[in-house]
Amino acid sequence: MNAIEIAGLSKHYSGFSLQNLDLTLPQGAILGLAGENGAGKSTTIRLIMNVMPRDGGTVRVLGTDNQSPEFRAVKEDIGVVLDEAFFPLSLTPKEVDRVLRSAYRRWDSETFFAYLDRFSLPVNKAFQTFSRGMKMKLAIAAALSHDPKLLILDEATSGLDPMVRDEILDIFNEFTRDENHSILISSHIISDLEKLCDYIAFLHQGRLVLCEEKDQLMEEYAILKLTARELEAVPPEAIQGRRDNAYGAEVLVRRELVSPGFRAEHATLEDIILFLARKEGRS
Amino acid sequence: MDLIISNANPQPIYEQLYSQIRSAILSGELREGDLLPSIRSLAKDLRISVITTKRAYEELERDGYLYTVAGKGCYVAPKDTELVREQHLREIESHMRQIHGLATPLGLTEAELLDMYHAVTEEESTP
Amino acid sequence: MTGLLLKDICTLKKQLRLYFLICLIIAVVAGWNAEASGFISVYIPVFISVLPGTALAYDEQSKWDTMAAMMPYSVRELVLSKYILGLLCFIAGGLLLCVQRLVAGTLFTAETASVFCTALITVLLLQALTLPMSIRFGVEKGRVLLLAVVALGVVILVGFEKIQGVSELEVASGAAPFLIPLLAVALLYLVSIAASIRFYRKRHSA
Repeated sequence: MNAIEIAGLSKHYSGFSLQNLDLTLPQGAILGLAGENGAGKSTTIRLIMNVMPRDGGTVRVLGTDNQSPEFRAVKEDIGVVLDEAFFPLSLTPKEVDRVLRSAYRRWDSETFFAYLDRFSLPVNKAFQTFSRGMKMKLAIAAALSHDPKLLILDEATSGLDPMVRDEILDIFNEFTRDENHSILISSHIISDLEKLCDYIAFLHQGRLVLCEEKDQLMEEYAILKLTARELEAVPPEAIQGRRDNAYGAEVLVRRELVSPGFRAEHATLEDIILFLARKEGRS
Repeated sequence: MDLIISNANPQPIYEQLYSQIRSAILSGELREGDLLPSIRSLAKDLRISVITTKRAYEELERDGYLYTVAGKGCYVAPKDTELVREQHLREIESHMRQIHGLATPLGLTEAELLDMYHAVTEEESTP
Repeated sequence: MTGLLLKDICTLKKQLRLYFLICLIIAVVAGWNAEASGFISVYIPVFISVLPGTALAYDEQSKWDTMAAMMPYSVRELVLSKYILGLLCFIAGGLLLCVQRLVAGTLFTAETASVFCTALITVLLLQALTLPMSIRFGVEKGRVLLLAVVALGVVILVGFEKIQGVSELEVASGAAPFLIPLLAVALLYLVSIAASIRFYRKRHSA
């Protein structure tokens, strides 16, 4: 079964449109949604949760059409962390526990307080005094404490310092040790996605530029650093993006199309996405 | 069993996993009938993709190093020495092709290549 | 639903303390000035009943609506919870009023009944108007509207007392003269709930 199945999803605003999006998150997998600010990541997430009307397409979440009345019950199984929507700020984490206990059937206070402890968050302090990182941690703790099958995380690691980010990525990694658990995570911090994800989708100006298995992507592409003359020997169809400088060029190539004689360097996910975005931007 | 997966390694991750598990089997560190960790738990422990781990296991199984018992997991297969030899020969051949591909544009002769090979053998045999 | 009410009560706890204090002052003043006692003590429940509007303001500030949309709540529950909160506030204010009247020794009088009815009508009217307006136009504009409504209410109330005469109102046997206005306001309240649900859906589908 697929945790999320999106087909032909469209949404038009003035100045932005999400065009005919097809995207699948297989159960048990982690899908990273990359893209610049305004690429349509948050819109996609909102449409998956059916909190805004769409102009076309279908979305199934955990096997249920998200426009059907049954979707409300499915929300019990979805833990969501949003970029900038929180619980009312004057609540203390202890009160958040009390509120969510009666919101979710499978809410587990013990798990929640264990996470608070792990994140060293104060229990009895109104969280308007919290830093952004602490608020994010509280939201993550809450999302994980009602026994969800699917986590949907919108920029959940941005604004956190690297140590905390790593710790949280670890928690997400652990979450998917259960093969029924899946994660959709959007981020503009591509290195986080590289560390965590099984699949990578890249949105650019409302269009899906690529959606592929991460390691496949890393195998397919490589970076070459060449002089202008050396570059002539590279078959043009192999070149997926280039960045010229005064002394030479840096190109993203399809590994299989260049002779092994070139010293191809390992391309990071960030390299791949940056080069492809430039290519998209020009076309 | 030690498994070191590196992102900096130009070798694809599934290949790194494949070759490390294979050498654990060939060296006798993993014995016939040993149960391997489940794909998912190995992937999570190594913090690598489940799909990649699955791919490495599938290739190991295809090449006769593992077998799967449905519902239980993957076990180390009995060592088929003939098969192992054949595979190694195939691998050597593919490396030869690579050498050929690299040597031809440089105009290296067979004799020169052989010299290089002798040098490597000597280097490896002196401790 | 309990979760939603609990959330609002937790959010409002600081206000609740302050409002309680103010009501206590009103009660003391009402007890001290026996002449205007009825008129002043109406304000106890009325005053507390603006709290659902405040709760909406907090929701807006923290973008709670977006968060709540991700949770297993229906729009109906989200909206209804504010109305129920409003009624709870009225009950709390009513109890406070009873205590004040009990202390003053005027609890079991016809005047108490009419004070109650006046308060209930005012509260239902206030909430029935401000909640849909705040949901439709946002709390800021909704608040301006609230002030307008309060001013209007005071004018009507004063006019009502001018026409009927305060003493006559007190003599009138308790709740009877309020029956028709009460029914009308209750109906308006129900219409208001339906409108709020509609506005809420519309607002969050932008």
